[in-house]
Formats: sequence, C-alpha cells, structure tokens
Amino acid sequence: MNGPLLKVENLTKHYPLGSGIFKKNIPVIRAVEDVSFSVEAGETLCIVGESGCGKSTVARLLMRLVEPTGGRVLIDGTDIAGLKKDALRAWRRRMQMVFQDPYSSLNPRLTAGQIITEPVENFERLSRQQRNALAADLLQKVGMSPEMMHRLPSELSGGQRQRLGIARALALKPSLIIADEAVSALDVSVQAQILNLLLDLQQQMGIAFVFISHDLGVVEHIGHRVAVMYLGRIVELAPCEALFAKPVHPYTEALMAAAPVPDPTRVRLEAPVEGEVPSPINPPSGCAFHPRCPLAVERCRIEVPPLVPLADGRVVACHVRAPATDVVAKPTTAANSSLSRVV
Amino acid sequence: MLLDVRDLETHFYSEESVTRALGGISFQVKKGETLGVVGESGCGKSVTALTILRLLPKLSARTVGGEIHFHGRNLLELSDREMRKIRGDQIAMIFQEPMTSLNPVYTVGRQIAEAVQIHTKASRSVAMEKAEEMLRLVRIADPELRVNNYPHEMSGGMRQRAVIAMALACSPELLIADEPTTALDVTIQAQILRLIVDLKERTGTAVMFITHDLGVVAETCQRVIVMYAGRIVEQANVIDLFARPAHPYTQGLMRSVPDRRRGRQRRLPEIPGIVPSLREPIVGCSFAPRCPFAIDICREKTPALRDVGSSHAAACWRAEEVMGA
Repeated sequence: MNGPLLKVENLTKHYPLGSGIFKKNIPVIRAVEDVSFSVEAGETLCIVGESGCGKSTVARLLMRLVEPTGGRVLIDGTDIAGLKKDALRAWRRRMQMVFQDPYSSLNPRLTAGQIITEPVENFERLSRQQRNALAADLLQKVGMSPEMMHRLPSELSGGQRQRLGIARALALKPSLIIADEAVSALDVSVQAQILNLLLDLQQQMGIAFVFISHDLGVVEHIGHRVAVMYLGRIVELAPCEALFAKPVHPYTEALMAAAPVPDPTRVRLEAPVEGEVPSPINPPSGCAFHPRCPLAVERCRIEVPPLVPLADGRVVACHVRAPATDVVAKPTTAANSSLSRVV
Repeated sequence: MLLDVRDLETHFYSEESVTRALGGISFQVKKGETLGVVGESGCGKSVTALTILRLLPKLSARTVGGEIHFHGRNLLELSDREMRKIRGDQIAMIFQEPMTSLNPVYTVGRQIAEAVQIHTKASRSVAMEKAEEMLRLVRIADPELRVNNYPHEMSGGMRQRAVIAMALACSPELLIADEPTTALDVTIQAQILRLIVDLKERTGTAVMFITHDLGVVAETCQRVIVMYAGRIVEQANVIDLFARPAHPYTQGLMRSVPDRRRGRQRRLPEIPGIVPSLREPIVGCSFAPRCPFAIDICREKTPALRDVGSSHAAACWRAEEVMGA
C-alpha cells in the first residue's frame, strides 16, 4: 500500500460558546487550529503539550467522536468525514482508542471477558466457545491470565484495568490505536509494564500508535516522531531523537527545561518559563507563544509563523528560529502598519 | 529536632476488615530542611501526613500506636482544641487539588485574612493587608486586585499559589505539601517548585514534601524517605539515595522511569507483580514476593531499618548486595 496510514490535513475545531439564532459573533474556543501530520503503518507518533493545547481534541477528531470545523482526516487515502453508516462502521474497526482513566472507561457491570469481546460482537455473532477463546487469547496478549475473564473491573488493580482497556482496543485487530494519556494515571512501576506492553504489541502486530501525553520522558522513550502542540497548533514536529537532542521552538525548549529530572546532582540553571497558557477563546495575536517567549520580536506579535521544514526532517513554526525565507523577503512596512493596528 | 515520629501505626476499619495503613514508621524532620516522602499509591505517604495533623476520619481510622513529638509535645496526647491551635499556626498543609482547601464563595483575600485573624488576633484590616503581602510573596501579579478574586476567577497554578500563601501566612515551622504540583502542567509545576524552594530558604520553614515523582524529589529535597506498603524501606540524603539506592524497591522504582541514558524504544525494567494487600498480616518483608534479591530469610523475618552508610538506612536483609548491583 502506498502513502501513509493516516493523513491529517489542516484539521480545525472551534467550539462555539453558547448558542443563539439571533446572536452574531458568538465567541468560539479555538481548540484545534490548522493541524496537519501523517502516521505511517507501524509508527508511533506522539503528541505532547500542556492542558488546553488541543491534543485530546485531536484524538477525538481522529476517531470522529466530534466533527471537525475544517480540514480532513484520511485513512489510507479515504476521507472519513464522507463515510456513512456501514462504511463508517467498517472503518472504525481499523482504529481504536485507549483512554486515560481505566476506572471510568470500563463498564463496571460487565466481566473482563465481556468487556474485551464486546467490540467483536458488534460485528459478528460469537458462540460461547468462540467468545471464551477470544477473551483468553486477548488477555494473554496483554499479559493477563485467562481466568481473569470472569472478574469485574472493581476486582482488578489499576494496571490490570489499563491492560483490559488495551485488550479491548486490540479485539478488532486495528492498524492504528490512539492512546490518550494512557499511562498518565498509573504509578511508575505499572507505567513501565504498560509501556513495555505497547512496545511489544507494536513489534509483534505492526500497530501504529498516536500516543498523546504530557510526559516528555515517556514520549522520548516510545515515540518515533513527536508533534509539540501549543494552544491548538503544532509548533514543532520532528523525529524523536532530533527533537530531544536539540529542541528548536522556544516552547519545546521551555517544556523540556521544566520537566523535573531524577538526578539531584544536576544544577538547574534556567529560570522556568514565565506566565501561563493563555485562553483559547481569545488567543494572542501572531504566534500564540509570544507573550511568554524570551525571543519574541515584533513580527511574532503580528503574523502567525508558518511551519517551516528544516534540514533534519523537522518542521518548526517560529519566526526567530526558523524564519520562512520567502516571507522574510517581503518589505517590513506592511508589518509595521499592522503592528500599529494591533497595539 | 522539629518533628520526631516514633513507631507510628494507623489502622483503617471497615465492617469486615482492618487495613494496616501504617505499620510502625519512625522518622525525623529537622528545622528548616526539606524531607521528601516518596512511594506509589497506597504506600501510606498521605496517611502519614494526615496522622501527624490528626485529620483522619475518627470513625474509620485510628492511630493505634506510636508517638509524634513536635517541640517536645506528643501531638497524639493533645486535646482537639490544642491541636486546632497547632494546625495552620505551627504546622500547615497544602494538598494536590487547591480547590479542596479554598472556599468557592469567599474571596481569596478574605480566606487568607481569616487564617491570619484566627491565629494572631489581628484586626480585619491588618489581616487583609497581610493577605495582600502574602499574595505578593507567592508572586501573584497585581496582588492588590487579586485579593478580591474568587477562586474560580483564578487559574489552577494561581490557586495553588494562593493556597501556599494561606499556608505560609502564619509563618508555620513545618509545611506538609501533599503532591502540590501533581495536578499542574509541567511549566507551572516548575514555577511552583521554584517558589516552594525559594520560600523555604527565605522563611526557614521545614517542608515535608510528599510526592510520587522521583524527578520532583531530586529537585527539591535534601533528605528522602521511601515508603512501601505502610513502612519506610529506605532513608537517605538525596544524593546518596539516587547514587546508590540500598533497597530493591527504590532501585526498581528508579529503573522503571524512562531515561534517555539507557536508550529509547527498549523494554523498561519492570517491578513484577502488584502491591500487597494491607488487610492481611504480612509475614517477612512486604516486598519479598516482587523482589529479585529475595532469599528465605526475606520471606520469614521482617527486616528493620538499619544503617548502611552515614545517614543512609535501608530495611533490607541484603542491602549491601543491592547497593553493589
């Protein structure tokens, strides 16, 4: 098959705040703004960012749990927005989701076996034997004993519940799993078990992951490529090793500097980045990071920086660190006049 | 010695069982130091804090043994009234979720002022001035305006700053911080950690910092106790702890955190199995079923905390071998 497994083009989602037929100019939350990326088969693309950056909204858009305001999501070249009933159902088999909270994403009244075989039973009728065999197989894949199929979620530990969530996602043999903060609620020792499980599954079954997380350590460990989001936009997208070796966007840099390092001998030199993430209802003009950015120049307040490709296969949206050559050539007078409007 | 805890035991009672949440722990907090308390969910770190402040529910929890000496007085022997005087005045506490300590219907300024008034008998206007000064101290911008904000008008990071302001308003000698940055974004976490470290240096308040995050411990604490299944399994200064962990659990915990120095995309070393139930009495070392070092004695006799270096102690029969591994 040619082309990427998943291709996202200019994806945008605005949530109107309140509604009204007669009201004009209803304020909107710009949750996701012009996001594009692709995921190859068997690859892990990580999306990192702080709360409100739009990473979870991207996950929901990919699953078509919410409808986009603009842009397209293509699976093997097919736009999922156009899919109706049967085609949509068939497509859903290919993409599954694992959620953050293993406590609220499992039905407390179903047994483990029922929970993980339910996705398959949406598509085909299973005999009791088939169902038990499937449940046993899935449980073994996620490192649990088949006897666990008769347990209720309340009788399982947090780690076991998250394994169950993964087993349920595997039931339909998807080519892509979207994991939204799938290890964030777990203790570190359990987190290590689940990360190992995800790595094993990818190796054995060639599953691609969109792995959404706020934890840079985890992202660096399992990602092939990483997209950094800030206030609804991707500000940097790079191969994992390149990104962690040398962050280019000042926000990526700030994020990495802020992450606590388990090494007491390290002396922290940098002062933490100032300020807080602004509201997505009324985001700052130009580059959304400019009010907190130590490098910000006039232009950052005016123009939204485009994603500019750099030599090492990354794209960066920053006027200072990655100036777009064709835009730089334009006369600066235009920029000055729009500055006077903004200020 | 500011705080001296000896053989503290706390049990929780339900209709059918007893949970031994704290199985006899002893530790000290010195004047002006930051003591980290680390461990995973259910290890007893929060119960320790709540036991010290006597904030556990009276019906379901009981401190069945031990002593808590603070300024030479055993807190467990004080009347409720005497205890109320100590709480907030000499020992203050901040929690993970700032909204649990803020009242949504009063302004932040009024809540800080209330704490000041109760403990210092200051007048309302003096207390309000103090509130503004405290907000400035925790670096909230425009404190003269922010004192009139309700909690919902503030961001999560700002609320946590306000709670810290409230906790420090009466200049306590000990601040107990229970996962104070866990609910915050990393860039805000970095700001709050920096703030706590700075304030500690300026005010000389001792801090007991409870967290599950080894990175946070490394950046903020001088001494650390590691808890597992209601007991202290290791105690050391922070440099020694990270350089040569002496308990297999500490070692396992450190190795299971993803680390670039050990390579990406590799399997992480796991701690097999799960935390034991504290409803059943535990024979031998509580970590033995998950421990790669376990031998017969580990399953038979509970190891006591013993010195393995200067100001470094571990509760493990094979600590010396663990340190060499």
